Amino acid sequence: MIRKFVVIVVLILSACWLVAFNQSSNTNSYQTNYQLRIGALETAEKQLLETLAQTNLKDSQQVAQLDDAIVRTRLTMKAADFWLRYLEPLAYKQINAPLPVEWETEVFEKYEPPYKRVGAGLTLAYLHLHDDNPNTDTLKSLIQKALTATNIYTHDSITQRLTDYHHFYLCNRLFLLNLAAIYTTGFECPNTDKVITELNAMLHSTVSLYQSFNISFPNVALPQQYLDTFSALLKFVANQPKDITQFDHFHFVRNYINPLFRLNQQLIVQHKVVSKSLVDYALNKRATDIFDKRLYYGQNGKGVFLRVTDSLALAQINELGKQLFFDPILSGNNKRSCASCHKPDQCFTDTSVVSALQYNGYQRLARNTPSLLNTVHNHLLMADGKHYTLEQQAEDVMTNPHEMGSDAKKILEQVLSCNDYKLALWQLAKLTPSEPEPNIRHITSAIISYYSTFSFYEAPFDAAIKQSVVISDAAMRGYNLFMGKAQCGTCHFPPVFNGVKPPYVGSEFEVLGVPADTSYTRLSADTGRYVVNPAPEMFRAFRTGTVRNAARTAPYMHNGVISDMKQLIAFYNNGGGTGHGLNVPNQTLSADSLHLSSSEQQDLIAFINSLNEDIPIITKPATLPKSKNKQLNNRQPGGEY
Amino acid sequence: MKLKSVGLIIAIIAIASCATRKNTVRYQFPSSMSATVKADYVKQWEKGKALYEENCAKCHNIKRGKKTIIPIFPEDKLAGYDLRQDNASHENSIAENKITSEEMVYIITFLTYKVHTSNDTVRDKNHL
Repeated sequence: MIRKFVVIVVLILSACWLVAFNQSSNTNSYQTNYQLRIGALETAEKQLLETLAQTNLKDSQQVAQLDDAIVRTRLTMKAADFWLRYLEPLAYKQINAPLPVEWETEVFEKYEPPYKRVGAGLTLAYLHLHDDNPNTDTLKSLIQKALTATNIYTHDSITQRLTDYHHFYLCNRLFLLNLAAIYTTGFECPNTDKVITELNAMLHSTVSLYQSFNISFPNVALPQQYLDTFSALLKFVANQPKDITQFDHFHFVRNYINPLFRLNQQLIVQHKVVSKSLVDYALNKRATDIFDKRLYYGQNGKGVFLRVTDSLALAQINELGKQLFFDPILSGNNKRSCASCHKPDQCFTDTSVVSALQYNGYQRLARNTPSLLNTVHNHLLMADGKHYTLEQQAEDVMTNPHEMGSDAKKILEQVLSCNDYKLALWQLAKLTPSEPEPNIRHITSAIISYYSTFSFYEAPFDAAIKQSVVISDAAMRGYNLFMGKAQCGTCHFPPVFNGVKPPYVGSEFEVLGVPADTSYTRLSADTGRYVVNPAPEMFRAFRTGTVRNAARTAPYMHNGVISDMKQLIAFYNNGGGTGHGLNVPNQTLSADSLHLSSSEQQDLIAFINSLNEDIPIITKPATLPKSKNKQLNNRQPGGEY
Repeated sequence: MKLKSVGLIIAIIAIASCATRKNTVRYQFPSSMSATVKADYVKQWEKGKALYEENCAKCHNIKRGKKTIIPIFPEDKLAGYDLRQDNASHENSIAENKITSEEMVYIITFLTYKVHTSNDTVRDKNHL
């Protein structure tokens, strides 16, 4: 039996090599390398299917062998991951999906309903094998789908792209971003003992990948400085403990990944790299750094004034936006402004209440007021992701009968009844030829332009990880816990530490099992994303928010049920809703305890504190523009409630 | 007197023709389109026209004497991301932070449903 198996393997391998060498006459070293690795992955997947066919899932020894075979196949996959993930992201989800079902609304299709992506591949096969009742057919189907998907990478439409250098620098950019945000968190490696092994294997195989690229594309080769930093990275990782919870993420990113990313960005500009892939849609070639706030493009933070570049005009827009932000004229009763709930001196949220008062002045809204800081770095907005532009969101609040209770026509009339506003809006409308007369879009656009300027400030952590400015050891340890043992980094991705993960084209939603009250007697009744996307996976799912400024934006969760940071960490440390005894069948947060000691929890808080951004102090305007309608002139800057 | 009136008539014709020339670019939507859908498309088309003038005309419009011609763009090229990546200058000039995907749809609507008059049968210079 084993002999037969070996013979087959040898035959397949030699066939693979023959194919590769046959073509080497008209192909280059880099392409040969690619073909060999895709071929090796196909072979490994075929072998895995053979092993599976011979495995009795009731026999623990045979199961252990199958387990080993999956681990080996994963290493072969990791050797090609550099290309797989970038060149055909949908096929990759058949080879190494982390979840059985993912709902996606990517930035280039956010006007369309969410797409359902059914995952398959090695991670899911591993997880199924370790389920209570694994079955051969399910395993076979998961692995067979990976094999079919791997074959896609041999098609001309993909291999043609390897004939020039453009894709290489874009693959490499994604690779480096994944090193910083995905590969080291265990997010896609179900067997946590193997995260470091896989990382080492992947990095080693990248060395020869780089070498073959430099041989084939000498004019646009990676410079020595890059290769030297990469060798230093290899040494650093080789010296890390095998236990992923002990991995030094901070120095890994600060000393190696970020400098490599910086160089790669320079090379992208220098070699005029052109993208042919939607994977690059949101990424900014001119970002200098992973922690550059312009790394990816989330929202249009200027609305209809998008193309205004003149600094005087921009200052005028921001000034108008500030006045409007504090002006209750936008509400139905002239008593509420944006600043009523989004208090600029409290990180544009309200830290004093669980949720804001409704328009009627006595009931409360169902959800906690979100901070407006860093909202511009999202693709979808609100806890349920129902809005996809900031303009739309702003107009919705002003016209929502429970919030500001006005309507678009009334808002425009009342604003234009003030001479100062009227003059400013007519002047600014000249800058927007497609909207030649002042309308509601100019009003919402001025407001979002104003508050979005506060999303580009940095925190002490940014200075530490970018420019090696000293930060406390506790904060550094806290970052390592955040990305490692505490598993925060599996959902809150650098650089914004929100749910936007490389390649930064979508916003993620998670089911945490948030309770209705802190006695954990029942779940919050809010169904979250389910209202927008009624899929079982999305029941009680909420968009992952940013951790930036979190120390100053209590209370937490969509319903503000958690009142301080200590309680918040305890919620996660004890496994969310399920961990607290609630029934949350679709919880995406692990129900197991994280076993964080109290000093570890303090370190985590020190890191979160280091994400407090240096936001300037904002003062309320002393007066508001006078209206022709005298009844409107007794309104208060900032509103009354 | 006669001369004066002839002059007046010529002047009126000249003004009128100027005014009509200004509006020569018109739209034509499929007859199967319902009235409400069409009303929506007309709005998008008008916005697209303004956006085209603002963002595209400078490079793409063709001067023929005193006439300005909006060239005909091949339909298969009028697609979001490909359009952004199509040439090196587009990558900066019509990136997502310069023109939103929504605005891009308006421009494409404008170019797709613009009536091609005999004056502007010229194809875009980038896609000859």
